[in-house]
Amino acid sequence: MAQVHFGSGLQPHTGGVERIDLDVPRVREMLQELAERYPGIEVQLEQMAVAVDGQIYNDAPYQKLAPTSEVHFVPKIGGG
Amino acid sequence: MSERKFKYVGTRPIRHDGVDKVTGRANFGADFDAPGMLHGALLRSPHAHARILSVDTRAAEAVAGVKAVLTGQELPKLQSMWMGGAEGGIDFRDIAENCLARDKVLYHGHAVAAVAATTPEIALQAARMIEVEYEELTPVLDLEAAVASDAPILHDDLQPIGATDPLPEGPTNIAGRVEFSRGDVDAGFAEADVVVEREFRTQMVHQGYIEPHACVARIGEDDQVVVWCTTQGGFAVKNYSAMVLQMDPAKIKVISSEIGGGFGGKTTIYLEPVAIALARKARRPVKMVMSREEVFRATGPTSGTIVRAELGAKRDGTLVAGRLSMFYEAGAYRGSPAGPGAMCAFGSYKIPNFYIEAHDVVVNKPKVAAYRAPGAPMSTFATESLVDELARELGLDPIEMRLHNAVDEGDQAPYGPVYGPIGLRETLEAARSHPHYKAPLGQNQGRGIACGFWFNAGMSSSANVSLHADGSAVVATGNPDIGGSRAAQAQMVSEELGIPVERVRPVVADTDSVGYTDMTGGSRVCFATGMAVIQASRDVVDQLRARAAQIWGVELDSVAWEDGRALPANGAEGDHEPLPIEELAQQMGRTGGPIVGKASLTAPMAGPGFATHLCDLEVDPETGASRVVRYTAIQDAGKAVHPGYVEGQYQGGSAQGIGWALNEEYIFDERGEMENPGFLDYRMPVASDLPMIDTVIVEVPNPLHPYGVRGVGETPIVPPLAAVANAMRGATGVRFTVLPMSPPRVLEAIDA
Amino acid sequence: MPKTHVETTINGEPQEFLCEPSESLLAALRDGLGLTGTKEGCTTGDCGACSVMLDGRLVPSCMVLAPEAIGRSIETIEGVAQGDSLHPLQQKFLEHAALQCGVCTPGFIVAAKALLERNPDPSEEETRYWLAGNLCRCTGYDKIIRAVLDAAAEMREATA
Repeated sequence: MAQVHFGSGLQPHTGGVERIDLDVPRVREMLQELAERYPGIEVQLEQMAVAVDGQIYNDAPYQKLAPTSEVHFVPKIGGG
Repeated sequence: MSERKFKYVGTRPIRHDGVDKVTGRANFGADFDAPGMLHGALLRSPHAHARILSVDTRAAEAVAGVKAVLTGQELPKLQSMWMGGAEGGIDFRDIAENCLARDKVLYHGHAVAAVAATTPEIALQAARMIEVEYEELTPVLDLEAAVASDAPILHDDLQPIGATDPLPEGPTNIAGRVEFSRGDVDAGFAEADVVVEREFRTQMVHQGYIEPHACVARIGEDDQVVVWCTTQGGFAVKNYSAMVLQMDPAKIKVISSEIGGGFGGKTTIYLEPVAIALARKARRPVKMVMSREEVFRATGPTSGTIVRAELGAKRDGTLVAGRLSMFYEAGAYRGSPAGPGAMCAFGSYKIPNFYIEAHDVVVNKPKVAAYRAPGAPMSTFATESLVDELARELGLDPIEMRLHNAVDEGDQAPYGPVYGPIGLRETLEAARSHPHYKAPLGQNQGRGIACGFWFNAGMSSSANVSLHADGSAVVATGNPDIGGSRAAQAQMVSEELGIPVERVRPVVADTDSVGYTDMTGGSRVCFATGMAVIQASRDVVDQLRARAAQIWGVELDSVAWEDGRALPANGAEGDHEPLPIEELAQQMGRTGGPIVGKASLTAPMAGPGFATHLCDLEVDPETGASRVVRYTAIQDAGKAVHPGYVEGQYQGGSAQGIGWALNEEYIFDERGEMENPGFLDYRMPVASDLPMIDTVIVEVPNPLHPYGVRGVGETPIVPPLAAVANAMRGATGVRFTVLPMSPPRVLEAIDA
Repeated sequence: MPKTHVETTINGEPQEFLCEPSESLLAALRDGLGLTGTKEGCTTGDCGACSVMLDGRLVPSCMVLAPEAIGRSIETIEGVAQGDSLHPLQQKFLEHAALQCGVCTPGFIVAAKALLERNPDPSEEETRYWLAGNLCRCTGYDKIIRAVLDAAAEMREATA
């Protein structure tokens, strides 16, 4: 199961949960699952990039998640 | 990857656009004219905060030579919609109202109305005849005033975004908040043997590109719009302008001129929608060029900041706890780089317990834009100053202290994910063994060291590589070339095709001629667009091999490609003479037609690039003036494609950081008018201010890129603020926490 | 106000044009004559991007009125190369990667040429102070200074 981590900025939306394990094939299904579990969190997550196993994607709903994947949410980065 | 032997990558060819740039032939933003062209000018607000009650354009319209007048009310009214996160966020309503104010002016210099006329002088004169009635409001000019409970409010409908729990009650100037934490901060500090705590302040500073913003907009008879402009991203100008004007983006073609510097400041739009709207009204092309004063007053500098910082260590130098509370000025509209500032602040060290919060705060100053590693220099100024203080208190060598705590591959970044292969340790080791670190210091001199990092944005890129009949190639991408990226892209094509760099012509294509490409920014061009260039080149090679297979009557896998030639392989060796690219190219027509390789991709964000900088500073105790006497920038480039331009990035970013540390700042009067909107008083480093800037390129390959490339553009501005401040501490014994360390400030501090 | 008729010499060729009496030489060169190699960075004489030679003297053309050019000789970046043959400074700027965005480059080359005409063997410090009127925001000046010193050395060798 993919390990999904919530930084302290997201924890108010997860009722303080820091990590959950989800059996989901892709980022898209993970986001759907999270929106069901924690209504309202999707608004926050829309603004964020997803880090899967250390690689950061600004917008990648179809990125595959392995059973061992670690997922973090980070602010989107552009740069100068 | 590391075993790969490169033939062209890593060399220093002369850039293809170079001759045009040393002879004055290259066309920058203001160098374009269109037949029948009018000139646009803007009326700007004389107040930092006021409600617009009425705008009367009749007098301006009556001026001979005036062909169109435009007010903010005439642009489509957009709904607020925030897109994206940290510093990459965009609200098109804000962009539109920053181009032309609608109901309120939010900073001194905010554009209010525009005129197109037959000469620039008439346009400016007529713009000044537009009568605007204002209701003046109290301006909010600093962070503390902005977050005070009784602060005047810039935007009545501002909803804070991010980690705001609980939400502030009622209207607020706090537009957003992010937080990151790990471990138990209080317990961590309790465990520390030494704790240092300071409040750091920086002022707004400008990118300082030498070329002001400029554009020409022309409307064709079929309503197709062509915009020539100086920008870091033609597609951004196209899409943003379309949003602001509520047009179909397919109707806008953007031709990027050569760009005279950007550093993030040309990632947004100011003039283009106004020029398009004026051109539509006047039915003639309109050219708009900003003055330097307009650039300072009304384009996007980067945030002034307050960073309250606390760091604790054990006696052996092990960092155990950190705490940061940060406030970043967004300027008139939300969207400061507080987020990445927070992400980078502790990025260089293993700190088991920390808490970081960062606020995005609106104030009545120009809306900030990206500036090279947005947000990171200010937060890193705080943390690297504190690491230096801890090393002093503990009697540790500042490099050893940093090496002791440095992050490695597999460590968790403060913003969550674990680092892949990174080169911080290598840059610190290179600094330790560099002759600079051992050189004796003179009287009144101090040495400072600081580390820093920045991400490399991935994002979307496209590239076409097409072959000429003589076997030379053209590579077209959508990224304006700010600092030698054409040369680097040609080198990558050369590496894949096996032809000399001079046989590759790199082209910056307009938005109708190449697939969508994100901006030149985020240290992404050599990394992400480079990846597309390599893929497109490999596509060409595959096609060339297929042509050779066809000629030889063999299977594709019996053809290898080496040094610009097809060679028989896989058992076919010796059966055929090698076919050089020139010959295959000549036969393209009869072997299947022209050869064009294509690639489009969305790259993930590249692994971060780390740097360590060394700075020797000499202070004149009589005047407080200081001078950098020696400087060394060491940075992990992954793989340097054109080392000359990689060094150039290190040197240029260092110089900008030195200016930020020592002299540069926006100075506002009490009404919010910038008092130093020119290069005489906004003092950027000149040649006589600086020494040679030594560089060391460390190469820890980036596994995400076929050659191991990391972007290098932004990281170099992250360490200098603290490197200079740490050197100042050494030279004067005073810890400076407020930038810039200008002579009066230094004199006052050392006399105290 | 009637326009002023200006007869002058630009890059060795006679030129005439009409301009407003208040027009800057920079505007006349760029807008009137299409010599856009001379760049506008500030119009206050602070950045050096518009550097030209006026009767052998280095000036920011934004601070010169176009009518002041009457009867005088102007050299711009367009006149620095001889046909297809680059001036050693231009060549060395390319070899040293002494330009990034390139917008300040014409001004630097005109200013550096003026330096080498009066001092063929400048020290690094003399070069830095001479070029202190030209702003570059991309390079940190390192490679520019090296390119100028290298060009000076090559020019000395060529005339030795």
